[in-house]
Amino acid sequence: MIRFLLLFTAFFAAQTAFASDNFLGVPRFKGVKPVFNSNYESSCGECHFAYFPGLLPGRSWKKLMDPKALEDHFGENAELEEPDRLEVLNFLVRNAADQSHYKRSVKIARSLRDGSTPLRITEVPYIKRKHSEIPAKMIKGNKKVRSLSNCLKCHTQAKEKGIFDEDTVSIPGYREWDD
Amino acid sequence: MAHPQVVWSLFVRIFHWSLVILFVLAYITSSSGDDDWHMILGYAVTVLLVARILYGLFSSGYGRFSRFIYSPKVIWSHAKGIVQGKPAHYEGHSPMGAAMVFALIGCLLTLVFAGLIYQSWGEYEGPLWWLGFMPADGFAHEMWDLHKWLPDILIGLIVLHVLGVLLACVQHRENLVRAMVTGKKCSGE
Ligand code: HEC
Ligand code: HEC
Repeated sequence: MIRFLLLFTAFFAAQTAFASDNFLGVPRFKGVKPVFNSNYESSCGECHFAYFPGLLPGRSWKKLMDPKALEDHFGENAELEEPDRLEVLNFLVRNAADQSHYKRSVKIARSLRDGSTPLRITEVPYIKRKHSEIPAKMIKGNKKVRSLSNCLKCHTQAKEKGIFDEDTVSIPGYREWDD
Repeated sequence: MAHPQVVWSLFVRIFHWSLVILFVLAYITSSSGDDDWHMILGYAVTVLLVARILYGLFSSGYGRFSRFIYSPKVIWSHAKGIVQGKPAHYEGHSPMGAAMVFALIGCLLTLVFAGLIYQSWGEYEGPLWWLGFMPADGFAHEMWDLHKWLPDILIGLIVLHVLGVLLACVQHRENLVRAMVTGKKCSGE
Protein backbone atom coordinates (compact mmCIF):
# COMPACT_ATOMS: atom_id res chain seq x y z
CA MET A 1 0.00 0.00 0.00
CA ILE A 2 2.78 2.43 0.96
CA ARG A 3 4.61 1.55 -2.21
CA PHE A 4 1.45 2.28 -4.15
CA LEU A 5 1.09 5.70 -2.52
CA LEU A 6 4.72 6.51 -3.21
CA LEU A 7 4.29 5.58 -6.84
CA PHE A 8 1.20 7.73 -6.99
CA THR A 9 3.03 10.74 -5.57
CA ALA A 10 6.00 10.25 -7.87
CA PHE A 11 3.67 10.09 -10.86
CA PHE A 12 2.02 13.36 -9.87
CA ALA A 13 5.29 15.10 -9.19
CA ALA A 14 6.56 14.03 -12.60
CA GLN A 15 3.39 15.22 -14.26
CA THR A 16 3.49 18.64 -12.63
CA ALA A 17 7.12 19.05 -13.61
CA PHE A 18 6.32 18.17 -17.22
CA ALA A 19 3.11 20.13 -17.45
CA SER A 20 4.62 23.48 -16.52
CA ASP A 21 6.78 24.71 -19.33
CA ASN A 22 9.05 26.48 -16.94
CA PHE A 23 9.46 23.82 -14.33
CA LEU A 24 9.00 25.28 -10.85
CA GLY A 25 8.28 28.92 -10.29
CA VAL A 26 6.92 30.58 -13.39
CA PRO A 27 3.25 29.66 -13.73
CA ARG A 28 1.72 28.49 -16.92
CA PHE A 29 -0.80 31.13 -17.98
CA LYS A 30 -4.13 30.41 -19.54
CA GLY A 31 -5.05 31.38 -23.08
CA VAL A 32 -2.92 33.63 -25.25
CA LYS A 33 -1.14 36.68 -23.86
CA PRO A 34 -3.55 39.61 -24.38
CA VAL A 35 -1.01 42.20 -25.48
CA PHE A 36 -1.93 45.44 -27.21
CA ASN A 37 0.01 48.00 -29.18
CA SER A 38 -1.72 51.03 -30.65
CA ASN A 39 0.42 51.07 -33.77
CA TYR A 40 -0.38 47.42 -34.40
CA GLU A 41 -4.09 48.01 -33.77
CA SER A 42 -4.24 50.83 -36.31
CA SER A 43 -2.00 49.13 -38.89
CA CYS A 44 -3.53 45.67 -38.83
CA GLY A 45 -6.84 45.97 -37.04
CA GLU A 46 -8.73 47.59 -39.86
CA CYS A 47 -9.94 44.65 -41.96
CA HIS A 48 -9.97 42.02 -39.19
CA PHE A 49 -9.23 42.17 -35.49
CA ALA A 50 -5.55 42.54 -34.72
CA TYR A 51 -4.68 38.89 -34.12
CA PHE A 52 -2.72 38.33 -30.92
CA PRO A 53 0.99 37.85 -31.64
CA GLY A 54 0.86 34.65 -29.55
CA LEU A 55 -1.23 32.93 -32.23
CA LEU A 56 1.70 32.43 -34.64
CA PRO A 57 5.42 31.77 -34.25
CA GLY A 58 7.92 34.55 -34.96
CA ARG A 59 8.97 33.06 -38.30
CA SER A 60 5.37 33.28 -39.56
CA TRP A 61 5.08 36.92 -38.56
CA LYS A 62 8.38 37.70 -40.29
CA LYS A 63 7.11 36.12 -43.49
CA LEU A 64 3.74 37.90 -43.29
CA MET A 65 5.40 41.25 -42.54
CA ASP A 66 7.82 41.10 -45.43
CA PRO A 67 7.30 44.32 -47.47
CA LYS A 68 6.61 42.32 -50.64
CA ALA A 69 4.21 40.00 -48.83
CA LEU A 70 2.26 42.96 -47.42
CA GLU A 71 1.62 44.28 -50.91
CA ASP A 72 -0.31 41.11 -51.63
CA HIS A 73 -1.77 40.18 -48.28
CA PHE A 74 -4.37 37.49 -49.04
CA GLY A 75 -5.35 39.49 -52.11
CA GLU A 76 -5.41 42.85 -50.31
CA ASN A 77 -2.85 45.58 -50.02
CA ALA A 78 -1.72 45.97 -46.42
CA GLU A 79 1.45 48.00 -47.10
CA LEU A 80 2.92 49.99 -44.21
CA GLU A 81 5.40 52.84 -43.84
CA GLU A 82 8.81 51.38 -43.04
CA PRO A 83 9.03 52.68 -39.41
CA ASP A 84 5.54 51.35 -38.68
CA ARG A 85 6.33 48.04 -40.32
CA LEU A 86 9.45 47.64 -38.19
CA GLU A 87 7.70 48.57 -34.97
CA VAL A 88 4.80 46.21 -35.64
CA LEU A 89 7.13 43.41 -36.70
CA ASN A 90 9.20 43.86 -33.55
CA PHE A 91 6.07 43.80 -31.39
CA LEU A 92 4.77 40.65 -33.10
CA VAL A 93 8.03 38.72 -32.96
CA ARG A 94 8.69 39.65 -29.33
CA ASN A 95 5.32 38.27 -28.25
CA ALA A 96 5.10 35.40 -30.75
CA ALA A 97 3.90 31.91 -29.88
CA ASP A 98 7.40 30.47 -29.69
CA GLN A 99 8.39 33.10 -27.11
CA SER A 100 5.37 32.66 -24.89
CA HIS A 101 4.56 30.73 -21.73
CA TYR A 102 0.82 31.01 -22.29
CA LYS A 103 -0.94 27.69 -22.66
CA ARG A 104 -2.46 28.17 -26.12
CA SER A 105 0.72 29.68 -27.53
CA VAL A 106 2.79 26.82 -26.17
CA LYS A 107 0.47 24.36 -27.92
CA ILE A 108 0.57 26.30 -31.17
CA ALA A 109 4.37 26.27 -31.06
CA ARG A 110 4.46 22.57 -30.23
CA SER A 111 2.19 21.70 -33.12
CA LEU A 112 4.67 23.48 -35.43
CA ARG A 113 7.74 21.66 -34.20
CA ASP A 114 8.36 20.34 -37.69
CA GLY A 115 9.54 23.87 -38.55
CA SER A 116 6.81 24.74 -41.05
CA THR A 117 5.82 28.39 -41.42
CA PRO A 118 2.06 28.82 -41.81
CA LEU A 119 0.80 32.22 -42.99
CA ARG A 120 -2.59 31.57 -41.47
CA ILE A 121 -3.52 30.89 -37.85
CA THR A 122 -6.26 28.67 -39.22
CA GLU A 123 -3.57 26.48 -40.78
CA VAL A 124 -1.72 25.83 -37.54
CA PRO A 125 -2.27 22.10 -36.83
CA TYR A 126 -3.40 22.73 -33.25
CA ILE A 127 -6.01 25.29 -34.34
CA LYS A 128 -7.09 23.11 -37.27
CA ARG A 129 -7.53 20.05 -35.09
CA LYS A 130 -9.43 21.91 -32.41
CA HIS A 131 -12.02 23.03 -34.97
CA SER A 132 -12.12 19.88 -37.07
CA GLU A 133 -15.38 18.66 -35.56
CA ILE A 134 -17.38 21.83 -36.15
CA PRO A 135 -19.74 21.29 -39.10
CA ALA A 136 -19.17 23.58 -42.13
CA LYS A 137 -22.71 24.93 -41.85
CA MET A 138 -21.75 26.61 -38.57
CA ILE A 139 -18.71 28.34 -40.11
CA LYS A 140 -18.66 28.85 -43.90
CA GLY A 141 -22.41 28.33 -44.26
CA ASN A 142 -23.09 30.64 -41.31
CA LYS A 143 -23.80 34.20 -42.46
CA LYS A 144 -22.82 35.60 -39.07
CA VAL A 145 -19.39 33.93 -39.10
CA ARG A 146 -18.33 33.24 -42.72
CA SER A 147 -14.79 32.15 -41.94
CA LEU A 148 -12.86 30.43 -39.19
CA SER A 149 -10.51 33.41 -39.33
CA ASN A 150 -13.11 35.49 -37.49
CA CYS A 151 -12.14 34.17 -34.08
CA LEU A 152 -14.05 36.83 -32.15
CA LYS A 153 -17.41 35.83 -33.61
CA CYS A 154 -17.37 32.64 -31.56
CA HIS A 155 -14.77 33.20 -28.84
CA THR A 156 -16.52 35.67 -26.60
CA GLN A 157 -13.59 36.35 -24.25
CA ALA A 158 -10.81 36.37 -26.82
CA LYS A 159 -10.56 40.09 -27.48
CA GLU A 160 -10.17 41.35 -23.92
CA LYS A 161 -8.58 38.40 -22.17
CA GLY A 162 -7.05 36.19 -24.84
CA ILE A 163 -9.14 33.28 -23.51
CA PHE A 164 -10.31 30.67 -26.05
CA ASP A 165 -11.63 28.00 -23.67
CA GLU A 166 -14.42 25.79 -24.91
CA ASP A 167 -16.80 26.97 -22.21
CA THR A 168 -16.54 30.58 -23.43
CA VAL A 169 -17.49 29.69 -27.02
CA SER A 170 -20.80 30.73 -28.48
CA ILE A 171 -21.41 30.17 -32.19
CA PRO A 172 -23.72 32.90 -33.55
CA GLY A 173 -27.05 31.48 -34.67
CA TYR A 174 -26.51 28.26 -32.75
CA ARG A 175 -27.19 27.75 -29.11
CA GLU A 176 -24.25 27.55 -26.72
CA TRP A 177 -21.78 25.13 -28.24
CA ASP A 178 -21.96 22.02 -26.14
CA ASP A 179 -20.63 18.57 -26.73
CA MET B 1 -26.04 -16.94 9.77
CA ALA B 2 -22.33 -17.47 9.58
CA HIS B 3 -19.85 -15.06 11.17
CA PRO B 4 -18.90 -12.08 9.08
CA GLN B 5 -15.43 -12.33 7.62
CA VAL B 6 -13.28 -9.89 5.74
CA VAL B 7 -13.90 -10.45 2.07
CA TRP B 8 -12.86 -7.10 0.58
CA SER B 9 -9.28 -6.18 1.35
CA LEU B 10 -8.29 -2.64 2.25
CA PHE B 11 -6.88 -2.26 -1.27
CA VAL B 12 -10.14 -3.29 -2.94
CA ARG B 13 -12.15 -0.91 -0.76
CA ILE B 14 -9.86 2.05 -1.33
CA PHE B 15 -9.84 1.27 -5.03
CA HIS B 16 -13.63 1.14 -5.17
CA TRP B 17 -14.38 4.38 -3.36
CA SER B 18 -11.54 6.41 -4.87
CA LEU B 19 -12.75 5.33 -8.28
CA VAL B 20 -16.25 6.54 -7.43
CA ILE B 21 -14.95 9.94 -6.34
CA LEU B 22 -12.48 10.36 -9.21
CA PHE B 23 -15.05 9.33 -11.82
CA VAL B 24 -17.56 11.88 -10.55
CA LEU B 25 -14.96 14.65 -10.46
CA ALA B 26 -13.67 13.74 -13.93
CA TYR B 27 -17.22 13.81 -15.24
CA ILE B 28 -17.85 17.24 -13.75
CA THR B 29 -14.57 18.76 -14.97
CA SER B 30 -15.14 17.45 -18.51
CA SER B 31 -17.66 20.20 -19.15
CA SER B 32 -16.71 22.88 -16.65
CA GLY B 33 -13.63 24.06 -18.55
CA ASP B 34 -11.15 22.77 -15.93
CA ASP B 35 -9.09 20.93 -18.52
CA ASP B 36 -5.96 20.68 -16.42
CA TRP B 37 -7.86 19.13 -13.53
CA HIS B 38 -9.67 16.79 -15.88
CA MET B 39 -6.34 15.48 -17.14
CA ILE B 40 -4.95 15.01 -13.64
CA LEU B 41 -8.09 13.11 -12.68
CA GLY B 42 -7.72 10.99 -15.82
CA TYR B 43 -4.18 10.10 -14.82
CA ALA B 44 -5.36 9.22 -11.32
CA VAL B 45 -8.03 6.89 -12.74
CA THR B 46 -5.39 5.33 -15.00
CA VAL B 47 -3.08 4.70 -12.06
CA LEU B 48 -5.95 3.17 -10.07
CA LEU B 49 -6.89 0.87 -12.95
CA VAL B 50 -3.32 -0.30 -13.49
CA ALA B 51 -2.95 -0.94 -9.76
CA ARG B 52 -6.21 -2.90 -9.75
CA ILE B 53 -5.10 -5.03 -12.67
CA LEU B 54 -1.76 -5.84 -11.04
CA TYR B 55 -3.64 -6.65 -7.84
CA GLY B 56 -6.09 -8.84 -9.75
CA LEU B 57 -3.22 -10.77 -11.28
CA PHE B 58 -0.88 -11.13 -8.32
CA SER B 59 -2.84 -10.96 -5.06
CA SER B 60 -4.40 -14.00 -3.47
CA GLY B 61 -7.68 -12.86 -1.87
CA TYR B 62 -11.18 -12.51 -3.23
CA GLY B 63 -9.94 -9.66 -5.39
CA ARG B 64 -7.83 -11.97 -7.56
CA PHE B 65 -9.28 -12.08 -11.08
CA SER B 66 -9.06 -15.86 -11.40
CA ARG B 67 -11.37 -16.20 -8.41
CA PHE B 68 -14.21 -14.45 -10.16
CA ILE B 69 -13.95 -15.52 -13.76
CA TYR B 70 -17.09 -17.56 -14.36
CA SER B 71 -18.26 -19.39 -17.47
CA PRO B 72 -21.20 -17.89 -19.37
CA LYS B 73 -23.26 -20.90 -18.26
CA VAL B 74 -22.69 -20.15 -14.59
CA ILE B 75 -23.46 -16.44 -15.15
CA TRP B 76 -26.65 -17.37 -16.96
CA SER B 77 -27.86 -19.74 -14.26
CA HIS B 78 -26.99 -17.14 -11.61
CA ALA B 79 -29.09 -14.60 -13.50
CA LYS B 80 -31.96 -17.07 -13.73
CA GLY B 81 -31.72 -17.73 -10.00
CA ILE B 82 -31.96 -14.00 -9.29
CA VAL B 83 -35.05 -13.62 -11.46
CA GLN B 84 -36.68 -16.66 -9.83
CA GLY B 85 -35.94 -15.21 -6.39
CA LYS B 86 -33.56 -18.05 -5.49
CA PRO B 87 -30.15 -16.53 -6.04
CA ALA B 88 -27.12 -18.63 -5.17
CA HIS B 89 -24.87 -17.05 -2.54
CA TYR B 90 -21.20 -16.41 -3.20
CA GLU B 91 -18.60 -15.25 -0.71
CA GLY B 92 -16.70 -12.99 -3.07
CA HIS B 93 -18.01 -11.60 -6.35
CA SER B 94 -21.13 -13.37 -7.61
CA PRO B 95 -21.12 -14.28 -11.34
CA MET B 96 -23.36 -11.34 -12.28
CA GLY B 97 -21.39 -8.99 -10.04
CA ALA B 98 -18.14 -10.22 -11.56
CA ALA B 99 -19.44 -9.65 -15.09
CA MET B 100 -20.20 -6.07 -14.05
CA VAL B 101 -16.72 -5.60 -12.58
CA PHE B 102 -15.11 -6.65 -15.86
CA ALA B 103 -17.51 -4.54 -17.91
CA LEU B 104 -16.75 -1.46 -15.80
CA ILE B 105 -12.99 -1.97 -15.80
CA GLY B 106 -13.02 -2.68 -19.54
CA CYS B 107 -14.98 0.47 -20.35
CA LEU B 108 -12.84 2.60 -18.04
CA LEU B 109 -9.62 1.29 -19.59
CA THR B 110 -10.93 2.07 -23.07
CA LEU B 111 -11.99 5.51 -21.86
CA VAL B 112 -8.61 6.50 -20.41
CA PHE B 113 -6.83 5.04 -23.44
CA ALA B 114 -8.99 7.17 -25.77
CA GLY B 115 -8.37 10.18 -23.55
CA LEU B 116 -4.60 9.75 -23.70
CA ILE B 117 -4.70 9.38 -27.50
CA TYR B 118 -6.82 12.51 -27.91
CA GLN B 119 -4.65 14.43 -25.46
CA SER B 120 -1.52 13.77 -27.49
CA TRP B 121 -3.19 14.52 -30.82
CA GLY B 122 -5.37 17.50 -29.90
CA GLU B 123 -3.71 19.03 -26.84
CA TYR B 124 -0.01 18.42 -27.54
CA GLU B 125 0.39 17.29 -23.97
CA GLY B 126 0.57 14.26 -21.76
CA PRO B 127 2.56 11.02 -21.56
CA LEU B 128 2.07 9.93 -25.18
CA TRP B 129 3.09 13.36 -26.44
CA TRP B 130 6.21 13.28 -24.30
CA LEU B 131 6.99 9.85 -25.70
CA GLY B 132 6.73 11.37 -29.17
CA PHE B 133 3.66 9.38 -30.13
CA MET B 134 1.36 11.24 -32.54
CA PRO B 135 -1.65 9.19 -33.62
CA ALA B 136 -3.08 9.39 -37.14
CA ASP B 137 -5.93 11.87 -37.70
CA GLY B 138 -8.66 9.31 -38.40
CA PHE B 139 -7.83 7.18 -35.39
CA ALA B 140 -7.58 10.23 -33.14
CA HIS B 141 -11.00 11.44 -34.28
CA GLU B 142 -12.52 8.08 -33.44
CA MET B 143 -10.92 8.12 -30.01
CA TRP B 144 -12.14 11.70 -29.49
CA ASP B 145 -15.72 10.64 -30.26
CA LEU B 146 -15.37 7.55 -28.12
CA HIS B 147 -14.09 9.65 -25.24
CA LYS B 148 -17.27 11.72 -25.47
CA TRP B 149 -19.90 8.95 -25.58
CA LEU B 150 -18.35 6.20 -23.50
CA PRO B 151 -18.95 8.06 -20.20
CA ASP B 152 -22.69 7.92 -20.83
CA ILE B 153 -22.49 4.15 -21.38
CA LEU B 154 -20.55 3.99 -18.12
CA ILE B 155 -23.23 5.95 -16.30
CA GLY B 156 -25.76 3.41 -17.59
CA LEU B 157 -23.61 0.54 -16.32
CA ILE B 158 -23.15 2.28 -12.96
CA VAL B 159 -26.91 2.64 -12.59
CA LEU B 160 -27.33 -1.08 -13.35
CA HIS B 161 -24.49 -1.87 -10.92
CA VAL B 162 -26.17 0.08 -8.11
CA LEU B 163 -29.56 -1.48 -8.85
CA GLY B 164 -27.95 -4.93 -8.90
CA VAL B 165 -26.28 -4.33 -5.56
CA LEU B 166 -29.54 -3.08 -4.03
CA LEU B 167 -31.38 -6.15 -5.35
CA ALA B 168 -28.69 -8.42 -3.92
CA CYS B 169 -28.96 -6.58 -0.58
CA VAL B 170 -32.66 -7.36 -0.49
CA GLN B 171 -32.39 -10.94 -1.70
CA HIS B 172 -29.55 -11.89 0.66
CA ARG B 173 -30.67 -9.63 3.53
CA GLU B 174 -27.21 -8.20 3.77
CA ASN B 175 -25.92 -4.64 3.61
CA LEU B 176 -23.43 -4.93 0.76
CA VAL B 177 -22.69 -1.20 0.67
CA ARG B 178 -21.44 -1.40 4.25
CA ALA B 179 -19.47 -4.50 3.25
CA MET B 180 -17.57 -2.37 0.75
CA VAL B 181 -16.70 -0.01 3.64
CA THR B 182 -15.85 -2.46 6.41
CA GLY B 183 -14.82 -5.28 4.09
CA LYS B 184 -16.91 -7.74 6.10
CA LYS B 185 -19.45 -10.01 4.48
CA CYS B 186 -21.33 -13.03 5.79
CA SER B 187 -20.33 -16.26 4.12
CA GLY B 188 -22.99 -18.83 3.38
CA GLU B 189 -26.58 -18.69 4.44
C1 HEC C 1 -6.74 45.70 -46.33
C2 HEC C 1 -7.27 44.82 -45.33
C3 HEC C 1 -6.25 44.10 -44.44
C4 HEC C 1 -5.28 44.66 -43.66
C5 HEC C 1 -4.95 46.15 -43.48
C6 HEC C 1 -4.62 43.57 -42.99
N1 HEC C 1 -5.18 42.40 -43.34
FE1 HEC C 1 -4.69 40.58 -42.61
N2 HEC C 1 -6.09 39.72 -43.76
C7 HEC C 1 -6.91 40.38 -44.68
C8 HEC C 1 -7.70 39.41 -45.39
C9 HEC C 1 -8.74 39.73 -46.47
C10 HEC C 1 -7.36 38.14 -44.89
C11 HEC C 1 -7.92 36.80 -45.30
C12 HEC C 1 -9.12 36.50 -44.42
C13 HEC C 1 -9.84 35.24 -44.83
O1 HEC C 1 -9.36 34.49 -45.63
O2 HEC C 1 -10.90 35.02 -44.22
C14 HEC C 1 -6.34 38.37 -43.88
C15 HEC C 1 -5.76 37.37 -43.12
C16 HEC C 1 -4.78 37.56 -42.19
C17 HEC C 1 -4.20 36.51 -41.40
C18 HEC C 1 -4.56 35.03 -41.45
C19 HEC C 1 -5.84 34.75 -40.70
C20 HEC C 1 -6.19 33.29 -40.78
O3 HEC C 1 -6.98 32.92 -41.63
O4 HEC C 1 -5.68 32.52 -39.96
C21 HEC C 1 -3.26 37.08 -40.61
C22 HEC C 1 -2.38 36.37 -39.59
C23 HEC C 1 -3.26 38.49 -40.91
N3 HEC C 1 -4.21 38.76 -41.85
C24 HEC C 1 -2.40 39.40 -40.31
C25 HEC C 1 -2.39 40.75 -40.66
C26 HEC C 1 -1.40 41.68 -40.17
C27 HEC C 1 -0.26 41.33 -39.25
C28 HEC C 1 -1.73 42.88 -40.68
C29 HEC C 1 -0.98 44.19 -40.47
C30 HEC C 1 0.23 44.29 -41.21
C31 HEC C 1 -2.91 42.73 -41.49
N4 HEC C 1 -3.28 41.42 -41.46
C32 HEC C 1 -3.55 43.74 -42.13
C33 HEC C 1 -6.98 41.73 -44.84
C34 HEC C 1 -6.18 42.66 -44.24
C1 HEC D 1 -17.40 29.05 -35.77
C2 HEC D 1 -16.98 29.52 -34.47
C3 HEC D 1 -15.47 29.56 -34.19
C4 HEC D 1 -14.55 30.39 -34.80
C5 HEC D 1 -14.76 31.39 -35.90
C6 HEC D 1 -13.29 30.10 -34.14
N1 HEC D 1 -13.47 29.11 -33.19
FE1 HEC D 1 -12.05 28.38 -31.94
N2 HEC D 1 -13.39 27.05 -31.19
C7 HEC D 1 -14.72 26.97 -31.55
C8 HEC D 1 -15.33 25.84 -30.87
C9 HEC D 1 -16.77 25.39 -30.98
C10 HEC D 1 -14.31 25.25 -30.08
C11 HEC D 1 -14.43 24.01 -29.18
C12 HEC D 1 -14.15 22.80 -30.05
C13 HEC D 1 -14.18 21.49 -29.31
O1 HEC D 1 -13.41 21.34 -28.37
O2 HEC D 1 -14.95 20.63 -29.69
C14 HEC D 1 -13.11 26.04 -30.31
C15 HEC D 1 -11.89 25.79 -29.70
C16 HEC D 1 -10.78 26.60 -29.82
C17 HEC D 1 -9.58 26.44 -29.07
C18 HEC D 1 -9.33 25.37 -28.01
C19 HEC D 1 -10.11 25.70 -26.76
C20 HEC D 1 -10.12 24.59 -25.74
O3 HEC D 1 -10.83 24.75 -24.73
O4 HEC D 1 -9.45 23.59 -25.92
C21 HEC D 1 -8.72 27.42 -29.46
C22 HEC D 1 -7.32 27.68 -28.93
C23 HEC D 1 -9.39 28.19 -30.48
N3 HEC D 1 -10.64 27.68 -30.67
C24 HEC D 1 -8.83 29.28 -31.13
C25 HEC D 1 -9.44 29.93 -32.20
C26 HEC D 1 -8.79 30.95 -32.99
C27 HEC D 1 -7.39 31.46 -32.77
C28 HEC D 1 -9.70 31.33 -33.93
C29 HEC D 1 -9.51 32.35 -35.05
C30 HEC D 1 -8.40 32.09 -35.94
C31 HEC D 1 -10.92 30.57 -33.70
N4 HEC D 1 -10.73 29.72 -32.65
C32 HEC D 1 -12.08 30.72 -34.43
C33 HEC D 1 -15.39 27.82 -32.41
C34 HEC D 1 -14.79 28.77 -33.20
